[in-house]
Amino acid sequence: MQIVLPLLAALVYAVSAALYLGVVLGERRAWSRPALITLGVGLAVHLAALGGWAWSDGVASLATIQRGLSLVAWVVGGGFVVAHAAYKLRSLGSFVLPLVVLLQALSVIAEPGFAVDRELQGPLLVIHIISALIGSGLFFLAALAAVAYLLQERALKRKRFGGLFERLPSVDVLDRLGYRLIAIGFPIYTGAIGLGSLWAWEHEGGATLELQYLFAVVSWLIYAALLQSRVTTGWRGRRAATLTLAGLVGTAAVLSTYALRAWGVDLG
Amino acid sequence: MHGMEYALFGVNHRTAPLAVRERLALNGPRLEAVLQRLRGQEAVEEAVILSTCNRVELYITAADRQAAWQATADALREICELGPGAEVDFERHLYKLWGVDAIGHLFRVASSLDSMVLGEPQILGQLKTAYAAAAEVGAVGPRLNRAMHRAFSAAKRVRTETQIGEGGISVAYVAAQLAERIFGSLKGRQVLLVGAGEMAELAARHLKDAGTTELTIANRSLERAQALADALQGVAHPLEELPHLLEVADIVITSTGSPRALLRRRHLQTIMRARKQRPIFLIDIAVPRDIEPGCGELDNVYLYDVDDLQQVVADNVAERRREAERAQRIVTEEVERFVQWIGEADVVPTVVALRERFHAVRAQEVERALRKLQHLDEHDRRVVEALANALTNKLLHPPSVALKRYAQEGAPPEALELVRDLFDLHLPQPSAEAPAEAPAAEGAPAPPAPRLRL
Repeated sequence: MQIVLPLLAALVYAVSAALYLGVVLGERRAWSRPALITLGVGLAVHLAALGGWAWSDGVASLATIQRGLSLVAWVVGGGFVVAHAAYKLRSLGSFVLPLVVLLQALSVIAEPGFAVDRELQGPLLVIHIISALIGSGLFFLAALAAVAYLLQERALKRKRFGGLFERLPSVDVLDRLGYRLIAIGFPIYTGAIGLGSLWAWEHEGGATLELQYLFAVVSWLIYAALLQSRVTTGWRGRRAATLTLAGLVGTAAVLSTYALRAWGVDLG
Repeated sequence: MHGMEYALFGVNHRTAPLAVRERLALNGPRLEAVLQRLRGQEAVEEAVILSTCNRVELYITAADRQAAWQATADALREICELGPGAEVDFERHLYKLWGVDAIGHLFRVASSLDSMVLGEPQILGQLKTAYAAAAEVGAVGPRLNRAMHRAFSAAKRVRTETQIGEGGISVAYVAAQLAERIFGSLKGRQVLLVGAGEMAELAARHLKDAGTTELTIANRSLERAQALADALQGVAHPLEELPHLLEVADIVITSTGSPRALLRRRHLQTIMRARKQRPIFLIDIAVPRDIEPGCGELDNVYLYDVDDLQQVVADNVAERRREAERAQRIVTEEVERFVQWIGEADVVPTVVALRERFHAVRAQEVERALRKLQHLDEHDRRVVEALANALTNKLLHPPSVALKRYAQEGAPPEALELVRDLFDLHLPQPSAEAPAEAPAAEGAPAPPAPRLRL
């Protein structure tokens, strides 16, 4: 049972992804509504799956890498639905859904190796990991908006418009969307890093300069600079999009270090 | 009276100059007069008249081509007051299409494939209005009813399955579309006109239609700026305030007659800093240009000059032409479906009558024979009946197949008449019956009700 709902969610997401790709690549505009509805169904199934895990194995089980990936997938998909309602971004689904499918599929594939560490029993670490995952999910979404921004901006600057240009949201909408996602994700991510440091202090007598800590701090600094400069000097547009992508490299590096450790790769 | 067919008499922007089209234009009372007049004519069964600035077309159904044309031409001549001699001239510009060709033309017109501006959306509405007007005076019967509704659904298919109506094809419209690509919704966006030329005014009007609310006009002559501001409900400023105005505007249209650039890259750099890099859309339609080309290299600045906009227009026109080919395939398909449907509607009653006739003869003859063969037992009697039945069906098979093929190819009326004549078939009301069954259901491609088992 533990794998049925997550697998079902992955399949429903795949259908939604196919519909969204049909909207953009196959010029089937009428498909965007079924795609969104399918995504909604997928999110509901997925939420039930997450709830089931929390019920049977405890909330801490969501902080394992296997189920953490699934949590990120849900945040990305759910965040997209909220953003869609606010900005009418039907075509961005073709960017977002493949990522959701990938994350969820990875989670399903990894599920057999699932085990809750004894370390995860304390609430501090669980909250640290879950908030880090939620923050990362929002940063993923911001990065997708940044990619769409860069494509749209390039088309407008080069004055050459292909089919994709017709369907992407405007540069201003994408720019604001990316900024808002980071503005929401940042405090969550900050809290996660703070709690992580606190846990490390308690258990290892001080913040260790482990690889993931380094990556986390670097990405945090990038996002902080991004938010700060937008308010003061107005760093927006292409620079902001590039910084968003750089920040994501850091965030993804943190996740990857954890994932590789969980699968037994020695990173020193 | 078999052989009722569709016909079209018309002039359009390609065949007739405006001077001819305006004389034939049928609006308001004249439209109704012609419709009423045609309704009273024996030679014309049904009529719908489409009259727009680019075309005047009369779609009718009639049995006799010559008589139908004569009646229509007489009505036009009288009501449009075309004096003697003038008719020769208008016939020179006129096209007459019959049957499938008339239907094909109707579907193309509805789908905007025959429009001067390919893919323009107004024509379908105009055709619907024309149809409603004709229906109101009772000039539309089942045949035109059916054809019109199928034309509407063909047009709808073209619009949803191709991009023929997308991509602006005027400079002003393209500018408004680009603005939406940059800002999304244009609601609340500020437009600044620098210079008060005609093109700038047109672009500003398009932007206003697209939703921009604030309009500022800066001009060397404050008087002219004020005049335009009054016309467009904007605010006029002297040109000296330009740097300040650029700090707040979102969309800027420049069209001054200045011999050198008004806005240089380094000025704009300062302005962008003051704007905190909020994006700005600069449209330079002045020749010589008002804005230094280097400005477009700055981040968050989108600069389009006349050539850029015209290039986008050219790309869009080319794209519409490509889409028109796809649209034409859809139209051809829809016309084929319609023709097949009409063909079946004509053929089906004939086949049914043929079968009924053969089987009536069979039943009669079998009964007579059995009366003389009283000594046969039940089994033998059944053998005789089966023999007669098999014989009849075998004989019916080839003509039924041939008639079905006619239906698919669009039945030649003469062939049907020959069959009826050979077998002495009397159809109560041939051909016009079937289309009457479901006149109002738009887009419902219902095949004729009595399906044949062949």
